[in-house]
Amino acid sequence: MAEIKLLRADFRLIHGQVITKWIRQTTANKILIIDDALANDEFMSSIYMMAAPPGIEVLTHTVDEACEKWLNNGYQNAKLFVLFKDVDSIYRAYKKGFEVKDVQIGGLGAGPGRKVVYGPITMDKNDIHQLKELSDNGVHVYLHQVPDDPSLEFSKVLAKNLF
Amino acid sequence: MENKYLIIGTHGKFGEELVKSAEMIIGKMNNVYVFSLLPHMSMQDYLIDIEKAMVNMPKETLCLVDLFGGTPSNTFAALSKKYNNHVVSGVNLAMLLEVYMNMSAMDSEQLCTCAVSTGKDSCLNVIEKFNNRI
Repeated sequence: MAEIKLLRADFRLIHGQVITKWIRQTTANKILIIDDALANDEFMSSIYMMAAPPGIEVLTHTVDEACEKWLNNGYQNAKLFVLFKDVDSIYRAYKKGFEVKDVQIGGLGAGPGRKVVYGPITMDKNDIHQLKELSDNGVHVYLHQVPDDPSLEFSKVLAKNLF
Repeated sequence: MENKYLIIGTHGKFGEELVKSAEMIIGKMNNVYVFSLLPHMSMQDYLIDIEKAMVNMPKETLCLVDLFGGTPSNTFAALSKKYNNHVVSGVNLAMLLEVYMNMSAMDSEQLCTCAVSTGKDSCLNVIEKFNNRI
Protein backbone atom coordinates (compact mmCIF):
# COMPACT_ATOMS: atom_id res chain seq x y z
CA MET A 1 0.00 0.00 0.00
CA ALA A 2 1.30 3.42 -0.90
CA GLU A 3 2.00 5.91 1.84
CA ILE A 4 1.19 9.63 1.77
CA LYS A 5 4.14 11.49 3.24
CA LEU A 6 2.78 14.96 2.63
CA LEU A 7 -0.38 16.34 1.08
CA ARG A 8 -0.17 20.00 0.09
CA ALA A 9 -2.21 22.64 -1.71
CA ASP A 10 0.07 24.98 -3.67
CA PHE A 11 -1.22 27.04 -6.58
CA ARG A 12 2.28 27.06 -8.08
CA LEU A 13 2.54 23.24 -7.89
CA ILE A 14 6.20 22.31 -8.41
CA HIS A 15 8.27 25.46 -8.19
CA GLY A 16 11.96 25.10 -7.66
CA GLN A 17 13.40 25.37 -4.19
CA VAL A 18 10.10 25.40 -2.28
CA ILE A 19 9.08 21.94 -3.34
CA THR A 20 12.66 20.65 -3.16
CA LYS A 21 12.79 21.83 0.44
CA TRP A 22 9.52 20.17 1.35
CA ILE A 23 10.39 16.89 -0.30
CA ARG A 24 13.66 16.76 1.63
CA GLN A 25 11.64 17.01 4.86
CA THR A 26 9.86 13.80 3.94
CA THR A 27 11.03 10.47 2.61
CA ALA A 28 8.74 10.71 -0.40
CA ASN A 29 10.04 9.25 -3.65
CA LYS A 30 7.26 10.36 -5.97
CA ILE A 31 5.33 13.56 -6.50
CA LEU A 32 1.71 12.98 -7.42
CA ILE A 33 0.00 16.07 -8.82
CA ILE A 34 -3.77 15.72 -8.75
CA ASP A 35 -5.21 18.28 -11.12
CA ASP A 36 -7.75 17.70 -13.88
CA ALA A 37 -6.47 20.36 -16.28
CA LEU A 38 -2.81 19.46 -15.89
CA ALA A 39 -3.39 15.72 -16.19
CA ASN A 40 -4.98 16.38 -19.58
CA ASP A 41 -2.08 18.56 -20.76
CA GLU A 42 0.83 16.34 -21.70
CA PHE A 43 3.20 19.17 -22.61
CA MET A 44 2.65 21.09 -19.38
CA SER A 45 2.96 17.86 -17.38
CA SER A 46 6.37 17.26 -18.90
CA ILE A 47 7.48 20.76 -17.85
CA TYR A 48 6.63 19.96 -14.23
CA MET A 49 8.47 16.66 -14.58
CA MET A 50 11.55 18.59 -15.70
CA ALA A 51 11.17 21.05 -12.80
CA ALA A 52 11.05 18.30 -10.18
CA PRO A 53 14.00 17.62 -7.87
CA PRO A 54 16.47 15.16 -9.44
CA GLY A 55 15.57 11.51 -8.95
CA ILE A 56 11.95 12.23 -8.10
CA GLU A 57 9.32 10.81 -10.40
CA VAL A 58 6.30 13.01 -11.13
CA LEU A 59 2.83 11.65 -11.86
CA THR A 60 -0.05 13.85 -13.01
CA HIS A 61 -3.51 12.41 -12.56
CA THR A 62 -7.06 13.72 -12.63
CA VAL A 63 -9.08 13.55 -9.41
CA ASP A 64 -10.99 10.55 -10.76
CA GLU A 65 -7.87 8.70 -11.90
CA ALA A 66 -6.09 9.30 -8.62
CA CYS A 67 -9.02 8.08 -6.53
CA GLU A 68 -9.47 5.00 -8.65
CA LYS A 69 -5.77 4.18 -8.41
CA TRP A 70 -5.66 4.86 -4.69
CA LEU A 71 -8.61 2.58 -3.98
CA ASN A 72 -7.17 -0.21 -6.13
CA ASN A 73 -3.64 -0.04 -4.76
CA GLY A 74 -2.44 1.41 -8.06
CA TYR A 75 0.33 3.37 -6.37
CA GLN A 76 1.76 0.16 -4.92
CA ASN A 77 4.55 0.92 -2.45
CA ALA A 78 5.20 4.52 -3.44
CA LYS A 79 5.93 7.12 -0.81
CA LEU A 80 3.92 10.00 -2.15
CA PHE A 81 4.15 13.75 -1.93
CA VAL A 82 0.69 14.73 -3.15
CA LEU A 83 0.20 18.19 -4.62
CA PHE A 84 -3.04 19.96 -5.46
CA LYS A 85 -3.54 23.38 -7.04
CA ASP A 86 -6.64 24.23 -5.02
CA VAL A 87 -8.83 23.23 -2.11
CA ASP A 88 -11.70 22.14 -4.32
CA SER A 89 -9.60 19.34 -5.88
CA ILE A 90 -8.64 18.09 -2.42
CA TYR A 91 -12.27 18.17 -1.36
CA ARG A 92 -13.40 16.24 -4.43
CA ALA A 93 -10.62 13.67 -4.02
CA TYR A 94 -11.57 13.23 -0.36
CA LYS A 95 -15.22 12.69 -1.28
CA LYS A 96 -14.24 10.06 -3.83
CA GLY A 97 -12.15 8.04 -1.41
CA PHE A 98 -8.62 9.39 -1.68
CA GLU A 99 -6.80 9.19 1.66
CA VAL A 100 -6.77 12.65 3.23
CA LYS A 101 -5.51 12.67 6.81
CA ASP A 102 -3.45 15.84 6.88
CA VAL A 103 -3.78 18.85 4.59
CA GLN A 104 -1.01 21.39 4.32
CA ILE A 105 -2.09 24.68 2.77
CA GLY A 106 0.97 26.24 1.15
CA GLY A 107 -0.45 28.91 -1.12
CA LEU A 108 -3.70 29.46 -2.94
CA GLY A 109 -2.98 32.56 -5.00
CA ALA A 110 -5.09 35.69 -5.19
CA GLY A 111 -8.35 36.57 -6.85
CA PRO A 112 -11.75 38.10 -6.31
CA GLY A 113 -13.35 37.09 -3.03
CA ARG A 114 -10.06 35.90 -1.52
CA LYS A 115 -8.83 37.26 1.79
CA VAL A 116 -5.39 36.99 3.34
CA VAL A 117 -5.59 34.56 6.23
CA TYR A 118 -1.95 33.94 7.19
CA GLY A 119 1.23 35.44 5.71
CA PRO A 120 0.78 35.33 1.94
CA ILE A 121 -1.90 32.61 2.12
CA THR A 122 -5.42 33.55 1.04
CA MET A 123 -8.77 31.75 1.23
CA ASP A 124 -12.26 32.36 -0.03
CA LYS A 125 -15.62 31.38 1.39
CA ASN A 126 -15.67 28.08 -0.45
CA ASP A 127 -12.16 27.10 0.74
CA ILE A 128 -13.19 27.79 4.34
CA HIS A 129 -16.41 25.86 3.93
CA GLN A 130 -14.76 22.79 2.37
CA LEU A 131 -11.80 22.76 4.75
CA LYS A 132 -14.15 23.10 7.71
CA GLU A 133 -16.02 20.02 6.58
CA LEU A 134 -12.73 18.08 6.31
CA SER A 135 -11.64 19.37 9.67
CA ASP A 136 -14.98 18.44 11.29
CA ASN A 137 -14.46 14.92 9.95
CA GLY A 138 -11.12 14.58 11.69
CA VAL A 139 -8.73 15.73 8.93
CA HIS A 140 -5.84 17.77 10.29
CA VAL A 141 -5.69 21.02 8.30
CA TYR A 142 -2.84 23.49 8.75
CA LEU A 143 -1.21 26.38 6.90
CA HIS A 144 2.51 26.24 6.18
CA GLN A 145 4.25 28.02 3.34
CA VAL A 146 7.94 27.15 3.75
CA PRO A 147 9.54 24.71 6.22
CA ASP A 148 11.54 27.39 8.06
CA ASP A 149 8.46 29.46 8.89
CA PRO A 150 5.98 28.55 11.65
CA SER A 151 2.72 26.85 10.72
CA LEU A 152 -0.79 27.77 11.77
CA GLU A 153 -3.69 25.47 12.59
CA PHE A 154 -6.77 25.92 10.42
CA SER A 155 -8.88 26.22 13.60
CA LYS A 156 -7.10 29.53 14.26
CA VAL A 157 -8.23 30.78 10.85
CA LEU A 158 -11.79 29.72 11.57
CA ALA A 159 -11.68 31.58 14.87
CA LYS A 160 -10.94 34.80 13.00
CA ASN A 161 -14.43 34.68 11.45
CA LEU A 162 -13.30 36.38 8.26
CA PHE A 163 -16.29 35.37 6.19
CA MET B 1 16.26 43.71 -40.50
CA GLU B 2 13.65 42.45 -38.08
CA ASN B 3 13.95 43.89 -34.58
CA LYS B 4 15.34 41.54 -31.97
CA TYR B 5 14.01 41.42 -28.46
CA LEU B 6 15.25 40.12 -25.18
CA ILE B 7 12.96 39.01 -22.38
CA ILE B 8 13.76 38.67 -18.69
CA GLY B 9 11.51 36.85 -16.23
CA THR B 10 12.18 36.74 -12.49
CA HIS B 11 10.70 36.23 -9.04
CA GLY B 12 9.78 39.75 -7.90
CA LYS B 13 11.41 42.84 -9.36
CA PHE B 14 14.90 41.38 -9.55
CA GLY B 15 14.76 41.55 -13.36
CA GLU B 16 13.63 45.19 -13.41
CA GLU B 17 16.46 46.16 -11.10
CA LEU B 18 18.90 44.06 -13.07
CA VAL B 19 18.10 46.10 -16.17
CA LYS B 20 18.61 49.33 -14.21
CA SER B 21 21.98 48.05 -13.02
CA ALA B 22 22.97 47.06 -16.56
CA GLU B 23 21.97 50.53 -17.78
CA MET B 24 24.39 52.03 -15.23
CA ILE B 25 27.12 50.28 -17.16
CA ILE B 26 26.11 50.43 -20.82
CA GLY B 27 23.45 53.12 -20.91
CA LYS B 28 19.85 52.89 -22.04
CA MET B 29 18.82 49.46 -23.30
CA ASN B 30 16.20 48.98 -25.98
CA ASN B 31 13.89 46.10 -26.77
CA VAL B 32 14.39 44.47 -23.39
CA TYR B 33 11.14 43.40 -21.75
CA VAL B 34 10.96 42.39 -18.11
CA PHE B 35 8.21 40.33 -16.50
CA SER B 36 8.15 40.26 -12.72
CA LEU B 37 6.30 37.43 -11.04
CA LEU B 38 4.71 39.00 -7.97
CA PRO B 39 3.65 36.97 -4.92
CA HIS B 40 -0.08 36.97 -5.63
CA MET B 41 0.25 36.01 -9.32
CA SER B 42 -0.57 32.52 -10.53
CA MET B 43 1.27 30.98 -13.44
CA GLN B 44 -1.78 31.71 -15.57
CA ASP B 45 -1.80 35.45 -14.66
CA TYR B 46 1.90 35.63 -15.43
CA LEU B 47 1.58 33.77 -18.70
CA ILE B 48 -1.21 36.04 -19.94
CA ASP B 49 0.90 39.17 -19.33
CA ILE B 50 3.86 37.71 -21.17
CA GLU B 51 1.83 36.47 -24.09
CA LYS B 52 0.43 39.94 -24.75
CA ALA B 53 3.98 41.07 -25.51
CA MET B 54 5.22 37.90 -27.11
CA VAL B 55 2.62 37.75 -29.87
CA ASN B 56 4.24 40.84 -31.37
CA MET B 57 7.78 39.51 -31.22
CA PRO B 58 9.68 37.31 -33.65
CA LYS B 59 9.77 33.59 -32.87
CA GLU B 60 12.83 32.23 -31.07
CA THR B 61 13.17 35.25 -28.79
CA LEU B 62 15.60 34.57 -25.95
CA CYS B 63 14.14 34.63 -22.44
CA LEU B 64 16.47 34.85 -19.45
CA VAL B 65 15.02 33.59 -16.15
CA ASP B 66 16.35 33.35 -12.61
CA LEU B 67 15.87 29.88 -11.09
CA PHE B 68 15.70 26.67 -13.06
CA GLY B 69 12.39 24.98 -12.24
CA GLY B 70 10.82 28.08 -10.68
CA THR B 71 7.55 29.53 -11.95
CA PRO B 72 9.16 32.03 -14.40
CA SER B 73 11.28 29.19 -15.83
CA ASN B 74 8.28 26.87 -16.07
CA THR B 75 6.10 29.56 -17.67
CA PHE B 76 8.59 30.43 -20.41
CA ALA B 77 9.18 26.73 -21.00
CA ALA B 78 5.42 26.32 -21.43
CA LEU B 79 5.29 29.22 -23.90
CA SER B 80 8.02 27.65 -26.04
CA LYS B 81 5.48 25.25 -27.45
CA LYS B 82 3.73 28.14 -29.18
CA TYR B 83 6.50 30.70 -29.68
CA ASN B 84 9.66 28.59 -30.06
CA ASN B 85 11.31 30.95 -27.60
CA HIS B 86 14.58 29.96 -25.98
CA VAL B 87 14.93 29.90 -22.19
CA VAL B 88 18.16 30.18 -20.23
CA SER B 89 18.14 30.11 -16.42
CA GLY B 90 20.58 31.71 -13.96
CA VAL B 91 20.33 35.25 -15.31
CA ASN B 92 22.90 37.62 -13.84
CA LEU B 93 24.41 40.96 -14.76
CA ALA B 94 27.31 39.49 -16.72
CA MET B 95 24.97 37.32 -18.77
CA LEU B 96 22.57 40.15 -19.47
CA LEU B 97 25.32 42.54 -20.61
CA GLU B 98 27.03 39.98 -22.83
CA VAL B 99 23.80 38.84 -24.46
CA TYR B 100 22.60 42.39 -25.02
CA MET B 101 25.85 43.47 -26.62
CA ASN B 102 25.77 40.50 -29.00
CA MET B 103 22.09 40.69 -29.82
CA SER B 104 22.41 42.11 -33.31
CA ALA B 105 25.46 40.04 -34.27
CA MET B 106 24.27 36.60 -33.21
CA ASP B 107 21.34 34.40 -34.12
CA SER B 108 19.19 33.09 -31.29
CA GLU B 109 21.00 29.74 -31.00
CA GLN B 110 24.33 31.52 -30.65
CA LEU B 111 22.84 33.93 -28.13
CA CYS B 112 21.69 30.99 -26.01
CA THR B 113 25.16 29.48 -26.01
CA CYS B 114 26.61 32.90 -25.19
CA ALA B 115 24.18 33.33 -22.28
CA VAL B 116 24.98 29.94 -20.74
CA SER B 117 28.75 30.24 -21.09
CA THR B 118 28.86 33.83 -19.79
CA GLY B 119 26.69 32.88 -16.84
CA LYS B 120 28.93 29.93 -15.97
CA ASP B 121 32.17 31.86 -16.45
CA SER B 122 31.01 34.78 -14.33
CA CYS B 123 31.27 32.94 -11.01
CA LEU B 124 34.81 33.09 -9.77
CA ASN B 125 36.54 32.99 -6.41
CA VAL B 126 38.14 36.40 -6.77
CA ILE B 127 40.64 36.19 -3.91
CA GLU B 128 41.76 32.72 -4.96
CA LYS B 129 42.27 34.04 -8.48
CA PHE B 130 44.19 36.98 -7.10
CA ASN B 131 46.41 34.75 -4.97
CA ASN B 132 47.12 32.44 -7.90
CA ARG B 133 48.26 35.22 -10.22
CA ILE B 134 51.82 35.07 -11.46
